[in-house]
Amino acid sequence: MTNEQLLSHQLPVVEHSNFEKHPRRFLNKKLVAKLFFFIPVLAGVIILFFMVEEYPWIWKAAGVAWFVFLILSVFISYKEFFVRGYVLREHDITYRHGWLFHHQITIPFNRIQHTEINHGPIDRYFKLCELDIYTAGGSSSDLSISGLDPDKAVAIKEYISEKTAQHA
Amino acid sequence: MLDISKPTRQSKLSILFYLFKGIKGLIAFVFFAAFSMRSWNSFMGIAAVSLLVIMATLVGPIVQYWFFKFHVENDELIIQKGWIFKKRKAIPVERIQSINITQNIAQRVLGLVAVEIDTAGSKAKELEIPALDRHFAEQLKALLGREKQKKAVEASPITYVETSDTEDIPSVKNDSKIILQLSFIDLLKVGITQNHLRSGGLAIGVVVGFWYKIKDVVENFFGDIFESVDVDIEQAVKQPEAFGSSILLIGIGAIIIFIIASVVVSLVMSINKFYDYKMELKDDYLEVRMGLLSKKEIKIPLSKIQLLEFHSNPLRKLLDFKTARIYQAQSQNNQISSVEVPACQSVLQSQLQHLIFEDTLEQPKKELLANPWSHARLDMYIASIFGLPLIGIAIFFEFYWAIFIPVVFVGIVGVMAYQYGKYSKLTRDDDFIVFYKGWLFNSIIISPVYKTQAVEKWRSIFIKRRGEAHLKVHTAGGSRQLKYLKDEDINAMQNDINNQVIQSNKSWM
Repeated sequence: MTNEQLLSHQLPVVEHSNFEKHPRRFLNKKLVAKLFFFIPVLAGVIILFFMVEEYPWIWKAAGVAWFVFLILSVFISYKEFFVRGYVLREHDITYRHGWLFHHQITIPFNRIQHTEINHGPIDRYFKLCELDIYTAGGSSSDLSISGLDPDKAVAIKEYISEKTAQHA
Repeated sequence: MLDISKPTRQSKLSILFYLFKGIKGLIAFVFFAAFSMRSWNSFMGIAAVSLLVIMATLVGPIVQYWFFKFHVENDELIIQKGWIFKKRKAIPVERIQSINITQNIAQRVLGLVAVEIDTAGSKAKELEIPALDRHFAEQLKALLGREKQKKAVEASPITYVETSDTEDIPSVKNDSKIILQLSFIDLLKVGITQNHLRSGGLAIGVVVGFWYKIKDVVENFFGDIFESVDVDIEQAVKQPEAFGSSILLIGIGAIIIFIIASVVVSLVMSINKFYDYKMELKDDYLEVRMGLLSKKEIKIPLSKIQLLEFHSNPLRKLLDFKTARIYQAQSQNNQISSVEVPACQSVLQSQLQHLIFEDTLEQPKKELLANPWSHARLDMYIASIFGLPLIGIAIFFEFYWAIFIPVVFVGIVGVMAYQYGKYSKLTRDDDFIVFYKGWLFNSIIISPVYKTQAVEKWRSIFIKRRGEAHLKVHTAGGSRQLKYLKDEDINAMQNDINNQVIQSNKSWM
């Protein structure tokens, strides 16, 4: 048995670990979800085309705005996919996400209260699910990792529960 | 000895308490009914409805009293209430974080108190038993405390000496030390050094809100009088020179009235809030008592305290004291989880700090400085959103001298933000993370490293190339962040804090 002294500055740093990527179909799901949001808005533009005939510039402007927003949000989703990732280490979990606003949050297992797996209808179609990690107190430090493979999510959840049980 | 193994009702006086609560609504209704009467017919209808409402107000409290029961069963505190919609809340005794006794003015008149049971961390809302007589409430508090301690002893393998037996005799407190007691002079000082701008705004808000409520009524009765003194505002704008001096006078008068009103409101509010303030250390928890019209008694276990903050402002700097705020592990939207300690002299500051976290601040090992230019830049961008349209308007109407106003405004905002960034930093020694934030209205936030729950680094795409990011430290008592720090410094800090939390076995909440 070894029992070497560890000093906190000798422990490995997060930046050197390999962030695990989400499955590719998560990107597809994101894009489909975006379309689901934008198609009803397009209906609004079409209604404008028929209703306001005397000012054609209104529906043209609305159409252009719709198109620009669509391209922009597809672009952001696309960019986001490649910076999203998580690292599971022996004592903590780190998750990073966001392109426009990039976040990287680390939660040690001895501060986790409980975990949960959720999935919505679109998630189910793409065989994805969301892992929610809860900490004590307010909800500000809760973590929700969306777009995970269900098997993997269960594995992570079990790993975390096992680890947190040791500290409880 | 108190026995609550069977469902118990509250004090009978609680009927009156519920009646008090109901009567507020009743008065509003009567007011409404009285003003909406137009003819004899409508009078009959309204009278019938009123009778119904009055009946409901009178019978309701009795029903409420009868169906509100609480008891302890199998180490769970169970509260049942409601007649048609029955509710049953059960809370395991060992989950109880703190038990607070509070008293508002209605309860004060009746000699009743409310017992609030707080359960941090869980999502269950905190429970309240609103009307108990004082003696009973204190016994209940002691009983629940004892039960909880019993559970804790059973749960932990190390048995320690039970000190709880002394708790049911209030006169024998084994270790009680008064930390702070405010005299009336202190109270005045606290009142005068409040943020008057905020209380002034509050006063205006209340007056305006109240005015809109009674506007219709007043106009109905006194409309004629108002019409006769109607000032022609349009005229005043078109020909300011005709009204010149009087407008200036009215303006200055309004400002003076605003200042006086703000100070008075601050004074009244802080006297009401902190009257008879007393903070005591008993065993391993702090007991705080305060309030004039609505009394509050708060009990905070020392081990549950997550954050300690000291706030200051220019007026307080003159008198050399700060306001401390203590945050404990909170459940969702629980207001009581932070306690204010007004009039904190520097001796008391270090005393509080030592008492709560058992260690004193050392010379910081690491220091992260915020970039003041980044703060200034962001705030000036935001100010320009309002400033640029103003400049546009000024140019459009050819009031070229008016461009001066938004330019100065943006400039001042920039300087303030620069100073904020200049005096903001984050330091860390072996045990504590300390945030220093702000310039004129500065604050110091102290949090023990091992109480950290998660560390977050975030940045927008725009500051990525500047190599800057924001650091956010999450605790069970809330999250605190500092913006615009160096990216690589944050990485080091984040790893440091995280590794220290991993290694710590101390209970953090």
